[in-house]
Amino acid sequence: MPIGQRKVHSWDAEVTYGEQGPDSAPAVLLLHGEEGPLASKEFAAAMALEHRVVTPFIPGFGGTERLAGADRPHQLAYVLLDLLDALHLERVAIVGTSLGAWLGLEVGVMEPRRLTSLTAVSPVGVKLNRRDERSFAEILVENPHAVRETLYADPELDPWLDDSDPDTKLAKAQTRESFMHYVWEPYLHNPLLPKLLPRLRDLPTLVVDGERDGLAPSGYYDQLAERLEAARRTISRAGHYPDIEQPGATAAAIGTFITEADSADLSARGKELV
Amino acid sequence: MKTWFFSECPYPDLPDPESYDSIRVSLPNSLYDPRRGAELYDVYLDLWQAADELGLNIMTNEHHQTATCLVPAVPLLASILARTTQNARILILGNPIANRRDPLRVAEEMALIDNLSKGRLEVGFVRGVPFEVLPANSRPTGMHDRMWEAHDLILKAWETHDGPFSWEGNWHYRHVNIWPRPYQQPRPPVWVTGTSLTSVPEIARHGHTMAAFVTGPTVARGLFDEYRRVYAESHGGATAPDDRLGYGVQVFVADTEAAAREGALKLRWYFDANKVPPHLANPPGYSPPKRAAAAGSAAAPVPQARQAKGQSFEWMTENGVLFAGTPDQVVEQIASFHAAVGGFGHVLMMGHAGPMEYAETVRSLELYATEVQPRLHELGVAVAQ
Repeated sequence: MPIGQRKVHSWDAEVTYGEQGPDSAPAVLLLHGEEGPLASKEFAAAMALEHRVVTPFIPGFGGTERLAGADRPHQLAYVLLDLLDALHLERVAIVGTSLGAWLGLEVGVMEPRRLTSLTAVSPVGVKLNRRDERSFAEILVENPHAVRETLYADPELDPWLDDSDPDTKLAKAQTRESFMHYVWEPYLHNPLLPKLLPRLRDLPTLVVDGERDGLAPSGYYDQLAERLEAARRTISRAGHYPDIEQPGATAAAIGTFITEADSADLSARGKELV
Repeated sequence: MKTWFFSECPYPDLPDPESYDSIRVSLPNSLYDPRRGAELYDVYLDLWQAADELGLNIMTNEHHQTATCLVPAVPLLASILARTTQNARILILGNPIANRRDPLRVAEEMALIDNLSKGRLEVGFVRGVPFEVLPANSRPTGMHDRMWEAHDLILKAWETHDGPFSWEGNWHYRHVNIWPRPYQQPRPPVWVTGTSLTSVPEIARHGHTMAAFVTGPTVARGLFDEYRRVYAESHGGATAPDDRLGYGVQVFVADTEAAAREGALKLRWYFDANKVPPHLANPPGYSPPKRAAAAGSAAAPVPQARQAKGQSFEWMTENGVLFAGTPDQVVEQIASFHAAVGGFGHVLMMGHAGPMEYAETVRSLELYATEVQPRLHELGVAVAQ
């Protein structure tokens, strides 16, 4: 995947991004999860068979620096919208996993008209249960074996499992630190998002989860999909990261949805023009 | 040389450590018997009282959600001691201000205790140990900056006397105008714990007293030398007075060496009982990624306090985590440590831990106060003017 950098307005930041797939294909903004951009590379490649896939590195991941003072995901939405401008991408389909799906929701509620569709794979970011119920399992300060069991259907597929190499160990520590930094408090959610989700009412949305996800409370993805009036898919033999554990099946499950949403969008815009 | 007696006020009546994962943070408080706990608070307050009567100073500290320390709110105990003790200076080491939601409250609490004690308070600030980011829900990144911002705010609150000022940083206060102001003017002496070489310069530049805890002489020497270097650099070449440096260590004095060995073994509970899993000891973001990545590897240095677990009396005394023996032996150990680190001015004496009882602890304090402390003057500690 060719890697580039673009200067954006917010923070005067240099944003790193990967880009692959046919230039003429409809654009997908692929927002990686907390395991980092490289963990999703097979998924990105599978998506790129039929789409022009742009994968921004969330600042603080994939060896990039965090932005001074930014400590909540919604603040990063400005940078992502700026990147779309810098790349002259007027409208895109957004696909995100976990933290990336949360970012997708934040970008979506900020500027819903820039999206042709939103696919949230195992989204976090929205708390739907009571204040004395844990919104998501503790994975930041927890035994790594337990965390792996929580997040993966097959813990052997954790991309950071083998960290015997010192460079990998360092990259893993940086990745974990950035994730913690953005989601520490309120833990893994933005309390305002439930109030803002109605802004997505006219947008085709899809919620995807893995059949063995231990992070979210039972029924969470269904409830969220109901709020969004979203389509639903569940990926077999996957935990919280279907994009990592089943990249091909996940890409196949959402590819059709995106294409249909894109054509519906094109025809609607065509009618507007007529 | 000043000596400050402290106990972490442990709850020692715990089941076999095999039955739980961690003595900190996750241990259920069903294991705490309120009747037994209430009695222990009496014992601990009485020990500080005894230290005061023996002419020693006293130190207090706090930890959260742990059986190792039953003090989750150090100003509460310190304010009792401010009234019940007569002469001791009272050191709080410390207030974990990077974890405090409301540092202005800390400024107010400290000012109140300083008044209650008629100016006997010394105020320590600490960043907070890694285990406590969960109990405090304190984001592990940025703690150093938060600690020093809280420090700046608290000092400004103490030293501003012409009406309200406002503060807009990590914390937002539109109106700071504390009543009472501190008894000591312009403010109580400030202490900060030095944990690594990177933490030292800021402490030295402010000229605050820096304490190192059970690091052993080699690490303590490194921290103290760095303090002296930065102090000189930032104070027009002046030599850092010895009384700006303290060392926290376990101390047990007995009439015979055999009795000292027995007492020291009980003190070792503090190290032995400290069962904490790595994910609590090294949460993401608490240490910079490079250090976090190295933690647990063969190349990473193991802190002395962790090494001390289960060690012999000889190992503990040789490695500077314990000063123990007859009065002669303890004087010799302190003198030798003093020489090894290039001088220091405060012994922060953990004289009680685990299941130790009142009588044996006080006997050790008596021997220390009457037979060790007077001879420490021979060490010639330089005091700030």
